[in-house]
Amino acid sequence: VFRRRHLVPALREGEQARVNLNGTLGYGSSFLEEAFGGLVRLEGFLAADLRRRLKIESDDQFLVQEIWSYIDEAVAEESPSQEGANPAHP
Amino acid sequence: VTLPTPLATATAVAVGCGASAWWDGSILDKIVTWTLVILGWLVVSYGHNRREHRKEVRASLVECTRDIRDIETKAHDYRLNTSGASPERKPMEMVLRSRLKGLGAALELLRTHDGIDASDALIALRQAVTLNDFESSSREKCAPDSIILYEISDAAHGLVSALENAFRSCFR
Repeated sequence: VFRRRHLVPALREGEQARVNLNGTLGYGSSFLEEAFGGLVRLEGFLAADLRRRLKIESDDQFLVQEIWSYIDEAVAEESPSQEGANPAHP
Repeated sequence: VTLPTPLATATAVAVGCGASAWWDGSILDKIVTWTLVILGWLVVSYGHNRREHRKEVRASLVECTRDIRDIETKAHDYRLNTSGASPERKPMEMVLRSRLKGLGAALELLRTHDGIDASDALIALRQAVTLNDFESSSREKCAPDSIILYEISDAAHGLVSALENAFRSCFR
């Protein structure tokens, strides 16, 4: 829900999207994988494009590291043909 | 009459000062003595500070290890005793997320201030505890011999070992 309602529209409409993860009691890895790994796996974004346009802010640097690992793992899971496919950003 | 020491005489002759008052043996003796005192103090003080620092880091590690074991126990309890339909699962999920966040903050301090880095092992523990069907309403209770429980314990041991190894390399 977070990915579809907030993350994807922000990335499709703007040049940059800033996600601030502070102010909560923490995040489950299942949520992070679904939200951020899903950008590549399900929404067709390219990792290089996300590295450029997605800014993840958190006091917990391990969290940021973990999120990028999900994005990178999702890229690794994608087939080579999809890796070069049409980026989701217009 | 003060007789110059052999060292003072040798130095004075070497620098060509002859019988200058500056190179009088007693002054040189004092300089040498105070230099040795200051150097000794610096060495002792450095050793003392390092031992104190080591003790502080060790105390933090003991605290973190206790947290890791507690998270492991709570994660087993969550997986064994609640399903996606259990009303008590939400508070347990909140506690697990919160405890993992607290552990992350403690390890971040150890990483930035003391050079103890176990980030990969921490992420592995977070994933073992909160990946897959964590927070899912369709989750089933785990069997006591479930691979998920094994993975949680394995990740907890991995993090404790990674912290110990990092500590040993820092204070070798």
